[in-house]
Amino acid sequence: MYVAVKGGEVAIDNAHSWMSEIRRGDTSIPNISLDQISEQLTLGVDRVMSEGSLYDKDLAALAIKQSRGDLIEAIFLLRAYRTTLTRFSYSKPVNTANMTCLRRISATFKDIPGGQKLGPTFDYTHRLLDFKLLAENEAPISPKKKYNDNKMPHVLSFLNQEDLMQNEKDNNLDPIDITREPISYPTSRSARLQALSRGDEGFLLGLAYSTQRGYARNHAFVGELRIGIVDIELYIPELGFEINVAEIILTECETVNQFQGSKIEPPQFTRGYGLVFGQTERKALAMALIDRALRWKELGEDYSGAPAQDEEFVISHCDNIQATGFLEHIKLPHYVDFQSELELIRKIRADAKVNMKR
Amino acid sequence: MNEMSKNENLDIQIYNFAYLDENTKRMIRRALLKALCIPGYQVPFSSREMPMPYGWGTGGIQVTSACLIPKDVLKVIDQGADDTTNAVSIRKFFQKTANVAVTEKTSDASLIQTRHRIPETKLKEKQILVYQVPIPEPLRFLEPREVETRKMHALSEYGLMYVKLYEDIAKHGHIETAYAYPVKTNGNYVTDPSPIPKFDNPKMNNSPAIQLFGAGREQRIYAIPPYTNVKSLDFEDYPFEAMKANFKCSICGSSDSYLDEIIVSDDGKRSYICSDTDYCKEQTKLNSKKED
Amino acid sequence: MENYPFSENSINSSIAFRSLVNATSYPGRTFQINKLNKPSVLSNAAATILITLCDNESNVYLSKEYNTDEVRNWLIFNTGAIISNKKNADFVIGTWKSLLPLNDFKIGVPEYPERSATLIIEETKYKKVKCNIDGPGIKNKLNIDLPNPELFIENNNLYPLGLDFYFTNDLEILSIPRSTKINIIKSEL
Repeated sequence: MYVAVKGGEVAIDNAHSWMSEIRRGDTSIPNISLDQISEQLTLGVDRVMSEGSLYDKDLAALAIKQSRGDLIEAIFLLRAYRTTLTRFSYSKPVNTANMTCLRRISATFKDIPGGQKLGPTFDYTHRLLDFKLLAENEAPISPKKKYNDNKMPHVLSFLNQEDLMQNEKDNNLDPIDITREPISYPTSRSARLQALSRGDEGFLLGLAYSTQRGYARNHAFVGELRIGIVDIELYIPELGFEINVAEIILTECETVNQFQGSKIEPPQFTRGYGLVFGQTERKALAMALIDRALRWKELGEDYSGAPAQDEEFVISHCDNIQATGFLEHIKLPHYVDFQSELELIRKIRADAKVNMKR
Repeated sequence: MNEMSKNENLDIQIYNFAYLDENTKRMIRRALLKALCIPGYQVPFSSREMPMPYGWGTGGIQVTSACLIPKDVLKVIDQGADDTTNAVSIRKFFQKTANVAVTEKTSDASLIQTRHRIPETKLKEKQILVYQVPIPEPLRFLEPREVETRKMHALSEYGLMYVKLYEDIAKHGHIETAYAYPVKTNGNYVTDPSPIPKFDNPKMNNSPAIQLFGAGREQRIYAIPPYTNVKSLDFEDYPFEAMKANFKCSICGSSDSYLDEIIVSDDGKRSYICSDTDYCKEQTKLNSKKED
Repeated sequence: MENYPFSENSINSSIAFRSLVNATSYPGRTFQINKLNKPSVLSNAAATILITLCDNESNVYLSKEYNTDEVRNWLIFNTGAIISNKKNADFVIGTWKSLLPLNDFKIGVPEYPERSATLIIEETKYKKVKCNIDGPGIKNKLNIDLPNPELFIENNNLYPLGLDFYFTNDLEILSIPRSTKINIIKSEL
């Protein structure tokens, strides 16, 4: 007698121990250390921290190791861990104007107070495989002075001075936390920005690209892209003042976009905004473009039906943990549903054959 | 970090009883009680990332986690069976995090988490049936926008659904929905019964048990209290019809339980067995008693 | 069991919640609640509801006799709940008379009917009217005594909007959700 899928427990245990073995690979090759991952695969670690919404390099490195380098799986591990953490407090908003910049560029002005600073970037590298890296002990030489103390005010603040830039008014509301309250549509910009900042880099990249190709085109200049270290400050009620609890690296992007103006407002530039954990500039750029596309209603623009303008579409599909879970769940058994479809299609076909004979 | 590297057996101390923290449970519990007060209405809740993927029962798991008590006897089924891989995985999770007793016997269980089936054995008062729900919105495939579907529910504007069902009849002579067949709960909200075969729909009506539904990825909780009218949508001239394969189970011989079709030979010979493995076992036992 | 209230005790809170699930699922029937450490003026059942469900997102309205330092401090310390006015309250606690009229409490909106108040009615010294109730969760019509049944009928007419009620008496709890239909049998003189 054939018996359907018995012994699930043994099968699961076997699959998992096989997976652990494969994860480790050839044991004659040294085990990869978390330090190696967090020091040498930094951009992968940064992506995992940003989409995992948890700034912890060691845990992100552990997640990458455990997931065999599958970054979405690593993000998932970090998210699942994050949910179990107690919230003690909310930090003060970070002040990105005081960022100690590793990189800071503007595509809108040739020179700016504080200067342009290329920083550690792939830009202008020739994408040729570097066979020198095959050697295992290379120790690159780089300029000694990495940070300078130049004040680097936000580039867009200079456009603000002339009133050429739309002023972002503080609505004095606490930002929504989408991990604590379910999103209801239409939602606020704060909820959108949080969702985008946690969103899948690939999804955001594709959507942002679509706006550049004419699906809700709104030509974006990179007013400023900055990557650097900011302080995290926490207000301690017992002390009565803020203390510095951490330093983290953020990537911030502000785009300058045109705005036609309306009957009551003269033309003005508007802004798209991206802010992401770590050195994640592709994501921050994409986020800024999508943020701007989603602002059509508030700015009185036309809805062209482009995906990037559709808040519910963008926000409810940008989370890769939700997306991959639902996509992959179709691997689970569905034979009960399939059986009911089988019965129905047989019945409909039988009826149709009778009718055709008639 | 240190906590994480401890022995796995210590998980139960590291995590709260039944995994979720108390604040998350409070939020889910408030949603569950409001859901029971408004049968069939989908209450939004801020679903948490669980250690299993979205789409693999995280909604049901969160509901179960918020409901479990130490005295519970838990049964977990997927496709009606206790030994399908995902059911095994979820059952193990709660054994580890809540240390509850488990059973395969429907009548012994105080809380049953299910995917895609309602057990054949009649449920009793105070038994809780937790459904895993992928898409809680019955109107979603007719109207993808939440803003719109929410309005439709608010206005009880279900014309679109009836038009869809009617078009099926006009085209095929049948309603083309074989599972996740929509129901109307307490004469008010059109509700998704989760992807159970429509054979199971009548079991939802006027059940003595408490039926709770969790959709984790979609962040919705809803409920059907006991003794609540649950009617599968239909038309006077095309009444709802439960449906199953017209065979007997080749193990227990039952002809009234829902059957899975299996392919038993290389030339494609089919056989049919109960989808509800516990029911099949019980029937087999009964048969052998009769023979004695 | 002496260490209630149980903000950190997930086992006791789970047991308490199961009683609430049962009470809400089977309206008009009485369910038992365990004892806990609570302010003297609150019943065990009412205190249990607040401790089990409230957190720092919950607005709680305390009617005059419950709005004491002891209750407020206990509630805020154990749940972080916000003491609120009638209009914004998610949870309301008071004797029947002190909560009338009911019109000030939120009943939800058509798109979000769950955004409504849950009323906890303490002590049973109100004028009782014999009623017959029916609806979800009720197998055969049940006879129970209610205060001002016309208000419950009015509330049910708002369905799916409306208020949800828990009647608490020491260690007992009984629910009348908005879905319950009420028929007046006769007024007691």
